[in-house]
Parts: sequence; C-alpha cells; structure tokens
Amino acid sequence: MMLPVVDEYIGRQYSILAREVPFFAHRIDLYGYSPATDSLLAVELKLRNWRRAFQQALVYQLCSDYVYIALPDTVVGRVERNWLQEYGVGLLSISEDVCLEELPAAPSSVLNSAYKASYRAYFERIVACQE
Amino acid sequence: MPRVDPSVVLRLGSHAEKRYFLKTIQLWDGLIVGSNLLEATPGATSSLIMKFAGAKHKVPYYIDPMTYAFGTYVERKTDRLRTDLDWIKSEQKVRGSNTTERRFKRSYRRLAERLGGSVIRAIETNEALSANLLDETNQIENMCSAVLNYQRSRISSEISSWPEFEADTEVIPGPAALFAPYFYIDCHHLDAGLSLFSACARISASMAANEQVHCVLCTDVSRLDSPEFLEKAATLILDSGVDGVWLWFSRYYEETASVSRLRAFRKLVEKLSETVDVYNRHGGKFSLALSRCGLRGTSHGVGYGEQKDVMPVIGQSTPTVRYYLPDLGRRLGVPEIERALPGIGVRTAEDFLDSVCRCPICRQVIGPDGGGFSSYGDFRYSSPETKRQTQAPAAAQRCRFHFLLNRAMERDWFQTADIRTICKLFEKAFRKWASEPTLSGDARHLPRWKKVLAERI
Repeated sequence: MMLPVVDEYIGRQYSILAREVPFFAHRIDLYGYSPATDSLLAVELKLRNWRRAFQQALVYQLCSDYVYIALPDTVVGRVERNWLQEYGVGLLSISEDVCLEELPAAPSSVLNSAYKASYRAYFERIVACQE
Repeated sequence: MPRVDPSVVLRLGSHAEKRYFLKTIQLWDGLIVGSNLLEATPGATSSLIMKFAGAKHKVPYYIDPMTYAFGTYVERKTDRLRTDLDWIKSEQKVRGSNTTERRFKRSYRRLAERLGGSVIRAIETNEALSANLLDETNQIENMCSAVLNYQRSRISSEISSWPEFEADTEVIPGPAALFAPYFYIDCHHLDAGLSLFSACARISASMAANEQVHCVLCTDVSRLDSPEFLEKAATLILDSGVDGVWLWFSRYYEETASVSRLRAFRKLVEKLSETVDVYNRHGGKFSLALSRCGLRGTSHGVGYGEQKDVMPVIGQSTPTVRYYLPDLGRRLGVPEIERALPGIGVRTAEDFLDSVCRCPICRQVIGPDGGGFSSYGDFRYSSPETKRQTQAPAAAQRCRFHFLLNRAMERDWFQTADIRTICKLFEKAFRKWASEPTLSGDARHLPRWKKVLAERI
C-alpha cells in the first residue's frame, strides 16, 4: 500500500490532503494544499505503468503548482528521468514504509489560475467542514 | 476510379438529439433514422422527417430497416453464436407486480409486427432469422417485399392518419433510397451469410427496379483481412443490381485500424464505386478523404457514432462527449488538449482560433482571455447524493455543435482538395501535435491515413 507512505511524506509540507479528487474525467490520487505557501501539489500513483502516470501528471500540471509521480522502488529504475526533468514532473520512490524524492518537481509552467482558484476553494471547504 | 463529392448523412439516434438537427439540418446531405426509433415514436419521428424532407428543406432521408436485429449474432465475450434474439430484449416490469420479465423491446416487436412473415415468426418463436430462410420458397421474396414497402409507406401512412393532414396540399416525399433486408454475416457461416445477403440484395433490386435500392454489407472487421471474402462480396454486390452499398464493418475504427485494413477498405471502395454508390455506415474524417477514391458518403450521429459495433455493449454508462480536435479528426479529453496548447504555441484566444478551431462555437466559448476552453469539459454532480461527476449537459451540447460544424466544414474542404493536399494536411497535423506528450498516442493514425491515401498517387 503506497498511499499512506506518500500521504505521510506529502503531509509534512501540505497540511490539507484529499484523495481521488476529480479533475475533468480524471481523479487525482493524492492532492495537497499548503495554505502557508498557497501551493497545490498533485501525486499520481502507479504500480507499474510509469508512462501512463507521467501522462496524467502532465495533465495535473494545469491545476497544480507541483506534480509528482509515485512508483514502487522496483519500478523507478525503468523511468526515463530526462522526460520527467524536461517537463518538471517530480519522482517519488516508494519502498515498504519509506518515500524518497528521487527527482524534485519544478513549478508548473502551465498552471491555469482559474483551476487553482477553484481547488483552493475546494480545500478551504474541506477545512471549514473539519472545523 | 471515380472521384466524388463527399456527403454526410446524419443519423438520428433519439429525440433528445432533435435540437441538433433543427439547428444544422441545412448542412447535411441526408438524414437516416433507424426503424426501431420510428416504431418507438412514430408520430414524433414522422413529423421530424416530414419537416426536414418537406418542401422547405428537401433533405433526403433514409429509413434503416434494422433487419439485422432479428438475425443471429455472435456474443463478443464467448464468440458463441446466439439465436435467441436476446439482444433486442430488455427487463420490463410486469404489470400489477413488483417483478420484471425479459421481453422484446416494444420498438422491435412493433417493427416485427409491421414487417410480418418470417420476422414476426422469429419474435414469436424466439428464434433468430438465419440463412435457412433460403431453404423455403418465397420466404425471402416476402421479406424483401415487406421491408421495401415498410420504407416506402411507413411515414406517409403515419402522417396521412393525422387529422390535420391535408391530402390536397401536402406531399410526403419518399426515402432517397430503399434498403434491402440485411443481416450480420458472422465469420463462422460466411458462405451462408453471403448467400442470404446476395439474395436479399438481388431480389430487392428486381422488386424496385424504378427506385434506388441499396444494400448493407454488415460483417466483422476481421473480414477486411480476407481478400477472398472481399472479392466475393464485391462480385455479389455488383451482380445484384443494387444502386448503392453501405459498408458496415463492425469494430472498424478509422483511428485505430491498421494500414492493411485501411488499405483493404479503400480497395473495396474503389472496386465498388466503379459501378455503385458506396457509403460507410459509420465513418469519420478518413471516410471523407476516401471520397477521392470513390466513397460517396459517410454516416454518423451527432456526438459520436463514427464507429459502431453491430453488437451493442450492454450496461455501459453514457459516454462523455469529448472535444473534437479538427486537426486529428478525433475526440479527445479537454485537459489533454489544454495541456498540449502551449507546446504548439497557443498562448492567447487568437492563437487558439488560429491554431485549433475557429468555428462559431469556439469563437463564443474561448472568450477574449482564452480561458473558456475548459467549459467544453465541464463536469458536475448529477445529484447531491452522488459522488461521481458526470458531464454537464451544456458542455456536451457545446462539444456536439462544435463537432457538427467542423464536420460540415471538413466535408466542404474535402470536396475541393486532391489527395496530395489531403496527405499534406495529415502530415502537417501530425507534426504539429505528435510531439505533445498528452496527445502523442492520439496522432498515430495520421501517418497511416496518409500512407494509405498516398499509395494511389
């Protein structure tokens, strides 16, 4: 189970987390918001198909400041890192209970401010509900 | 081979699509309606056909007799031949109880009652029509006669029964062509299927010698791999005396078809079009391009239907209507396209209109800051209880109108273009989009299309 490990790792900087957040026909596996830095982070988790994860991650750059793909450490070796670097997608390697940042994500160059505003409001509603 | 002007015959799938026809009917070369829809809603469908085919619009129309629905079919998962007609049945509530029963859909039962003879017997005995029809004298003759008469007279009999109908002043036009009965030719019984197909086409053509008669070659896409089958089918069609043929290769998708299948399809079109009008029953942009090789027209629905399996997929949710990307000639997800826009140099609304689409819908939707594109993909919760989002009806509507306007423009463009120009268009579109990672896999059909078209230069 990769999700709790990634949750814990991302949660250190992004205090509000949500899973399976809809974005058009997609569902963002893990989506975080940091009110302190006003930044959104999306993570796409995959067990094997890193190319598919990469494609989805590129789409999530429209609504996120930072995007990562998270893969089991046994799969990470197959990833074409230069592709990820070219597009600023970060890479997380997951072993049993450890999440390692193999590549940092760059700020999204295609962030759509309207989407960001909409998801910022989404997270603020989550906080309001929790309170 | 003849080079013809491509035509688009729009298929009315349900009355929910009426608005698209009302707004765009003048753009199309024809309208086709399934007889199951006609029997489900005879008044509304006849009225709509009368409106479009009447003196004001004069749009040619066709009634698809849908006889294949009463034939045998092959179950996709098991490859088993089914003769129980189960695919035209549905669970229906038993009156006065809380139970349901699997019965024939009312539209198909009514159609069978109208066609009578062996068709209604199939319903009554729960036994699909098959090539055994050939064994009994007059069976096929009777069926052909009933099917042709149905198409000739169904609309006029419906309309003339209306009290407001004025027989002196109103002329009810007939269909542009009559379809011979047709059935799915399954791969396990090719000879029998072709014999039945041939008999239906030949007899119908002889019965309606003064009218346009078309046949429908309905089989699996794998038959495109068999030159023997295609040769035999072509010979039977050309010998039958029909005026036109509609090709329906189930599971033939232009965007994913291999070069060899696209080539086989093109060759079949070329051969047939020397003598008869050839239509693709479900086709898209590649079919329009094949007008340069003789394909007279293609048919599809308002939002999808450029491909259709003969066997309906049961239990599938309503598909999302995606944005039709004109360059690629296919529908794709809004965020995948939006993510690719910076890569092709689109930064502003004007860039979008220049590089992607300038149809009236896009001009209205995109807005001055270029931010409106996402509204093609709007989702919403259909009810407060649900956790799943579905496409907003307004977004689906925008996508459909955008697609229809583009399709009409494409049809007009293909009328004037030669093969070399079309190939250049495909090549340019491929170069433009294929390097965008969110769409790279969705542009791969363009080199195949180009290759198959260019082979004849």
